[in-house]
Amino acid sequence: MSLARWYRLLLLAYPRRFRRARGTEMLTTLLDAAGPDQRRPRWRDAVNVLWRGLRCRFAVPRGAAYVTAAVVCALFGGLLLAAGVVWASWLGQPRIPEPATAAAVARIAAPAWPSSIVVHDEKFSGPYTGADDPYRAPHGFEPNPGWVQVTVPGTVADARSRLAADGWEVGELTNLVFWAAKSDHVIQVSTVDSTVLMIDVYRRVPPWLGSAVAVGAVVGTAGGWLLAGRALRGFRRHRLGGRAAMLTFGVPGLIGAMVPVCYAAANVILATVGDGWRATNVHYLIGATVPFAVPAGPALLCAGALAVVAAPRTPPAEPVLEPVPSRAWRYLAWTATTAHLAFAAGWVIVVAIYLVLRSRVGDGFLGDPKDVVPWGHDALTLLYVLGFLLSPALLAVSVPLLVTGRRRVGVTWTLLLVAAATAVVLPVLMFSPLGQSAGVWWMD
Amino acid sequence: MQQPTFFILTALAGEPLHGYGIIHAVEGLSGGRLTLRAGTLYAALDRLTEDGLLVVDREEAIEGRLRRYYRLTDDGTRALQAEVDLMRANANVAAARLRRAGAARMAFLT
Repeated sequence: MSLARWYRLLLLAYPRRFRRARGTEMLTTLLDAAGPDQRRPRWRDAVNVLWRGLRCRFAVPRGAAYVTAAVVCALFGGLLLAAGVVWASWLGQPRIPEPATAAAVARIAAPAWPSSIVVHDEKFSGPYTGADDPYRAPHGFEPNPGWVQVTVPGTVADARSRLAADGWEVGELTNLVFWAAKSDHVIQVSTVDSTVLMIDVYRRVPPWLGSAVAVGAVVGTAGGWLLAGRALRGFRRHRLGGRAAMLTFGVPGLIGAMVPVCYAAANVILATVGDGWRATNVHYLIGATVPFAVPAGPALLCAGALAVVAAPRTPPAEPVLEPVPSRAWRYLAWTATTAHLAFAAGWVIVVAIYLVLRSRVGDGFLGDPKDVVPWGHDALTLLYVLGFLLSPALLAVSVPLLVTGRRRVGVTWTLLLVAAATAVVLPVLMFSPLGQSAGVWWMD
Repeated sequence: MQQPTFFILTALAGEPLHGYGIIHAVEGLSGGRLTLRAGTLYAALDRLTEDGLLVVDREEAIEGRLRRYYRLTDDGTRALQAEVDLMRANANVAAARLRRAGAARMAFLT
């Protein structure tokens, strides 16, 4: 591999906007600074380019307000993704035990017939209230939120010894309350009047949850920071109107995001300096995050969309030095794009007509397609059928064009990419229930 | 003002230079004490251009290579002059203190 190629690879550490503006210039400087017989980058240069490239990727505009906004977005992103990880953990396995399972678990502790079995389906517990909080389970006994409460005659001491004999890991008995855990279940056993037990049966927090939440928080923080940097750069490129529009959404969004961020920070600090962080603390954080995330998240996304969509793009500062694609390449690219999009349009129009008719007549007879579309029915049918047959075959032309024209032409190349994607997506959609129904109706 | 920034502005005070020209000039001006790497140089050039202290003077595109020459703006010249004045004032203060300390030592010895 040539030295220039090595440097090109290293320059990938920089974001595209930087490479467009300065990529060739910086490559020239690196090559100018290289020794006459140098074949590979010096390691100090390589580290410097990689480090500066990453810093450039994560850069936000200078200024206290910009940095504050980016920090809030980053922490909010971390909190949201951590919440998403917990949510995903509930989708993968049941969050609350089945009442029958809970009754069976309770029977191990007290063999008498239960007087009541009540399901408490609470996704989020309230704010942390101290050591007496029922969710404040000891380390190793962390439960998912939500539980099944089995009320049954019995005594705490008997229940504790029976559970221990059955192989349960039994916690200390404090104020006639103890916790026990075995495989996927955690139970809290307490009593009201020494003769009636309340056995709260929980599903245990999965052992990987803590690590997964930490990874989610780190990835979310990095993602939030990157998105904030992009939005803030867009903000700077805006004129007054665009900035005002972004502020209209962004400021309430940031204020809304700061509330759960501050709450989470306080909770993490309090829990860590208190009696230690545990997995159930995550549930408190999510309980605080969700009510604010619902308005703050969309508001911030709107501000970000305004930055990306409406921001005037600065023209690339660097002259294009790569060989300009030939006229033949452009001609072929536009032809392939037009053909792909025409085939796609045929499919989309047929499905759209089908959906409109279906919404009008319900499950009834839709009518003959020739009567519904008297003008252009044959041409549309031709496009529809040829699109299915020829559009994927056309990829044999468009994919080589995409490969040879990579990074040479902006709009033409991007449009061809989108058009070629339809050749993959549409045949797949044709086999979906909607695609099949529309196809059968049209072709019959 | 950080040292790399100071030497980049100093290098460009003489004539417009391109990327490698700046690296070479900074090494010479600093007596070999400061070797700018390309990543550091372009981060500084970005910042200084954004602050209006530098502008692109001209570009040379030959055989797939691009050399962009930078020159100081009036603001850049003023910023460098202000830094020079500050450094001179600081150096004068330090030199005066050293002179006084030296005179006191001599008086003590004699």
